[in-house]
Amino acid sequence: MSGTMTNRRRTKKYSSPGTLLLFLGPALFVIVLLRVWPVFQGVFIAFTSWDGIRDPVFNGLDNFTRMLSDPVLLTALGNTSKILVLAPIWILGPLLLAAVIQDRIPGASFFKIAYVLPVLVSPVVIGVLFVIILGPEGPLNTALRGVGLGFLANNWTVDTNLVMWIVAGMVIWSSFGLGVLLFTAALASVDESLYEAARIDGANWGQRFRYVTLPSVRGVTEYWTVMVVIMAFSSAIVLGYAFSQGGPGYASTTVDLFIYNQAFRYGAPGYATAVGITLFLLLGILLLVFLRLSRRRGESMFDDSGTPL
Amino acid sequence: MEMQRSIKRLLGVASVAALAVGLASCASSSSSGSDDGDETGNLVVWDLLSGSDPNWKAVMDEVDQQFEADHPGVTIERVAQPADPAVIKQLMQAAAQAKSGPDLIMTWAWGDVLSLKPSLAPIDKYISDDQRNQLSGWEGVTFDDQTYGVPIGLQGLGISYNSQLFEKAGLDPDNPPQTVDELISACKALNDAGITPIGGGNKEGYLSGWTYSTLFAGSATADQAAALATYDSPMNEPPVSTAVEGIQSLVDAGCFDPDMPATPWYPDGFEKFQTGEAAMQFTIYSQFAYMQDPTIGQYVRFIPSIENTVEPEFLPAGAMNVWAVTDFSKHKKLAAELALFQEQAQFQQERLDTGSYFPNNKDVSFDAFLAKNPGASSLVDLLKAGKPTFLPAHNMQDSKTNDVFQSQIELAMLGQTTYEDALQQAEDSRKAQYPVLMGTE
Repeated sequence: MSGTMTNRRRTKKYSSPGTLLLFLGPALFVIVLLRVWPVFQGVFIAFTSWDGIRDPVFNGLDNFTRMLSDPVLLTALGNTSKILVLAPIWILGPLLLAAVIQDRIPGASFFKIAYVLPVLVSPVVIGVLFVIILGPEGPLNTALRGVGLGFLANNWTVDTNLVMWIVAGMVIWSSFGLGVLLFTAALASVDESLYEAARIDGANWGQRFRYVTLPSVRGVTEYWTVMVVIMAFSSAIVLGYAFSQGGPGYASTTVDLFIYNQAFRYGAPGYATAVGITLFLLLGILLLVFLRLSRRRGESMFDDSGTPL
Repeated sequence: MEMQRSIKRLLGVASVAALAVGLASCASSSSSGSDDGDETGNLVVWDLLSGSDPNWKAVMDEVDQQFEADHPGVTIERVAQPADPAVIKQLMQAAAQAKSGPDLIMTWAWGDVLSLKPSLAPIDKYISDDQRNQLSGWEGVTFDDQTYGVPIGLQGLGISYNSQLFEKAGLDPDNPPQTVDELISACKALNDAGITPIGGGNKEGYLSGWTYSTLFAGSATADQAAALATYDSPMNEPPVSTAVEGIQSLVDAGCFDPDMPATPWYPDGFEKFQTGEAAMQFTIYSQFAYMQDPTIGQYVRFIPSIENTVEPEFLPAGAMNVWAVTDFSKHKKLAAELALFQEQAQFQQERLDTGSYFPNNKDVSFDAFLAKNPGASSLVDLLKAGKPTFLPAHNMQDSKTNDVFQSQIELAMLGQTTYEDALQQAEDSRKAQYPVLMGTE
């Protein structure tokens, strides 16, 4: 009894506003200073005309209306959407590979390492590597000429119809291993008895993948999908710049490179921030809708005991 | 209760302290805004070359020692910064907002000076007439009749050519092309002889800029060039369009290497010229090292200008870089003195002799340089004769318009857009960027 009283007194003592402020204050201060304040500052800057040096001048919605008629921004959005178009491969490819590796194929460890290696390589190095591979006298054109397919040899890096697809392929290739790694870890925790049961029921590999693997790693698939969407909008800049500098023309300028150029090269941080904020909101809405749909669909894939239906 | 009171007291003291610091910093920044500043103290210099070139650093170390010896109580802190305009802009944005940072920065002429102008101090009153006459390249640092920097060295453009390949193609190496028409004839002769007429790469669009600047000097009068420097000259009208038509005629005549647009990197663009496969190459003055190349060095010569529609009145050359004094410097006069001190003939001579940095100081001797680079004599003769220089045209574009111009001309050279559309886009960008750059938005 006396012990309970002491605990209550102690709880009361440590939950006083002053004590809470003392314990939480420093951390809150850092969070507000480094996270919350810059967001508010960014929102303010988005409504200004600012070159980064003179004082910002409030210009209302000018930056936002400018976006609607900026052909380069629309081109950049189109280019980024080319990466998104390939998202199904980016999402399901690693899962399929992980499932194949999980089946203990010969040399499984080698394949795991081989897929993960590109993740460890700097995006700049990858961009440079592809420049060499796809150069006019590079290995690809040389190989094509060597096997009598010289008519397919191309100036890949300056072909405006192809260059963005190449950048998209590089972005996916460079992070593919991360997905394989995630799904391999997720598959290792799937109850083997589910596969046993499926086998006894006569399910083939495809059916086991469809009815056991997919529902079992739904959580990781959701996580990977969110990551893929975020990476599509934010990870192409370094690869794309190292490979083609956003060109020829704007053929491989992605939306993240567009924002960087506006903010740091063209003296328009206000406009860049407006684009960044709009993109952040769009991306947020997109992901919320996806997660809600995914959750609703996920709920119908399991019975009450959590077993895949 | 007691603790709450303590916290309130603590917050109160912190607020007063913050207010006091804020007021003090406001007071100090406003007082240093208009005067010459202190005569002693620590001068912070941002140098874009001392981190990457030991030859440059050696000369600048000497500069620092001599300046410190001449100015007791002054120390120079030379900070090596990356030679990346975007990085320098970011660093300067942070410094300008904090009203604290370097006293003297190295940057690039025209566009970067213009965009940093709100945080730079005019230095006219510190420059004597003699110092002004001794150096060239002031057009890259002068806006609204005020001088915002001291030009560093001379960087220009022209065409390097291989005299041996000229001979092979039946061309007279002692009379290289002087006009676009002669250039086109030479291209034909070289193509007929199986030699690539003009090598080069265009991956970053630089070749478009270099070719344009070279031809602009043969398309514009000195007055028209001056109009370009105030950014009043439309990009889709003569003389800009005339220079671009010159590029088009070279492309149409098959002057350029067919692989030119897809060369992977900047150095790859020079490979064919360096290996003796291409007869000509648009080059900048800092590439005269070609003349010491064991393969082609003895054959390399230089064409300093090409006539397109007018006889060149000036060479397409301007300040390689610029020293600029910051508006928030507490040593403005001292910083300006250091800027001028380091560009005097003695140090430019050393930089030319040890690092091949082309000088913009009239008192520098080219004797030792010419002994090593005889092919540059055509240019040196013109400079000695007092031929005026004017900043290359592609340097007189803001960074966005420059990107638009170079990438669109690159597309036009690839046949993926028309030259008219390319110039219209560049003009649209110039018009949009003009108020941003001139601060009249």
